[in-house]
Amino acid sequence: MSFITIFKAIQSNKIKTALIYLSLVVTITSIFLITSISHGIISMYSTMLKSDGDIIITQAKISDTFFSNVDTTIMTQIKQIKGVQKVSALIVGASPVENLPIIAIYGASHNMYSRYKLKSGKYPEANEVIIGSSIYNQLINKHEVDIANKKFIISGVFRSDIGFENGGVVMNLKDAGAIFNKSASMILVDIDISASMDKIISQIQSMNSNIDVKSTNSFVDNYNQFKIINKSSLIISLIAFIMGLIAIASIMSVTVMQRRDEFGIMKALGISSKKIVFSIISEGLIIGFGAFITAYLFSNIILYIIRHIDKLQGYVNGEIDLTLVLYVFITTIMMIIFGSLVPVYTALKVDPVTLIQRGN
Amino acid sequence: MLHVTNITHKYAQDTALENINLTIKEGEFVAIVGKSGSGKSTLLSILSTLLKPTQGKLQLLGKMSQDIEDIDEFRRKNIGFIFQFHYLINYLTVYENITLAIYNEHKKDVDSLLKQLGIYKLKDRYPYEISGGQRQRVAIARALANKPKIVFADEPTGNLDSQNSDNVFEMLQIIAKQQNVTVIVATHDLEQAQSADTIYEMNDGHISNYN
Repeated sequence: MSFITIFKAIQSNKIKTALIYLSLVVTITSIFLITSISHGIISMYSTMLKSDGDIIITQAKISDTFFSNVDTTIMTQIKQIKGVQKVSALIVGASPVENLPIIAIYGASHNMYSRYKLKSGKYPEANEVIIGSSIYNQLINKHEVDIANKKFIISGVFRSDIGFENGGVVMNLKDAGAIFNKSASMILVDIDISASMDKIISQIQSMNSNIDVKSTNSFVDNYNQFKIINKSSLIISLIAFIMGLIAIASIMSVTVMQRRDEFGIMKALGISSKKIVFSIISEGLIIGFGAFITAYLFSNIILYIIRHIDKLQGYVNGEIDLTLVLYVFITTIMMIIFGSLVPVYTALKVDPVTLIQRGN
Repeated sequence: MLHVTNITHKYAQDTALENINLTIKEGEFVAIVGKSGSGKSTLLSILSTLLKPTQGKLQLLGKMSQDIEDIDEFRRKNIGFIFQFHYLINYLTVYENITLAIYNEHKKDVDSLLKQLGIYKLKDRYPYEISGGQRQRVAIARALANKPKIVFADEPTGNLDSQNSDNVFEMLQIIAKQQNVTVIVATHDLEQAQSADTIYEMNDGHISNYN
């Protein structure tokens, strides 16, 4: 059977085509958005950690950096180690600010300030904060903010390419320590290119048994929160995939039922079951390819809109890269093949004349 | 050419055919007559390999049906089937319907076949744009396109007026004679059946020679 025949079959079954197309667009868009947004969260946080340290020190046996408390007095000892360039400390917390329910609060040592590019004002001193540009415009009071029942003067506005930072508040380490009752959430260590990372890690680790020292790359790879986000995204994507599969299989079952006499005639004419299955899958793949392109464009538009919704403070930030495109494309093809194969194959096991009679 | 031994077929508890034995020679024009529900269509479906019998043996062109490796290809090469309700595919043109399963080497003969059946001018039309009689001619053309050795026709005139019925029957006779094709027609019209070389009668799933 020629491709013209396949195209004509698609055209002649407009409602079925539209239903499969819509199911696929919704499913593929869901998979694109779920995966890209969860990857975006991981990417933003890991970029934030990687940009200021080759080594990360957190409290031992703590699964989340939010709950980690590391004594900063150790920083003086770390600075003495040969090959260490810079040691900085960071507190990561969250608090409501004005009407915004949750804002990332960063307490940073002074040597970290340069990562926050000032748009206006100056870096914060005691009782001062700088505000990320994506939330600054949403503040009613542009001069001071109330965090944990304490007033802070807004000394400047900064911008960052990392959404979590751009939608956050930065203050000095001491003020953040007073709010969150800790010394630091983590200590970040920059080392010389020529220095041995493993050696420095073991030297730092030997200083205190209450700390956990890892290379930033290893930390990111093994961070439990990232694993949870990845697994959640995978499970939700899998559910979306199964729902799409069920939708396609149901529509295909109805379509095959409607077209039984057509398949019966084809079999009576001597067209093999393989060719009929191939033509049905080809119909699905043509619709699927169109739906994939639409879903890709649609997902990019949604992500663009999400990035520019002030209320989301830049925290929801997804990007569709080539790997994701390939992964979703393969998923789409699998959905179509498995969704079509079972109903068609089941129908074609019946004698041609029975197909013709049932189709009537 | 075609030989059946003790063919029995049942639909659930109902016996549609019982112990059918039949031999049809090459180039023979055979009519099977009988009332509606007598088992004519079931027999034709079994003879044309469109339906597996519950019991019995079918030998076609020297091969036992169960020994045929690729039954679809065998059907494509050797068998043409004309149904009572033409069963043309509505989204394909007349030409596309006829050539749907055609071998490439037979494509060049399609135009002359269409001319012979008087439907050449309709080749680019869709089935819903032509009359019932014309659709049945298209169905005949489709059945003959691959130059089959046997043509089965199940009540091919059942849906046509008397003039179109006579035309279709006449065409089948001409084809049988000119191309030495074996034609097996099931019909309830005794008058038309008279022109066949051999007439069999079906009655409650049993077959006998019609006298």
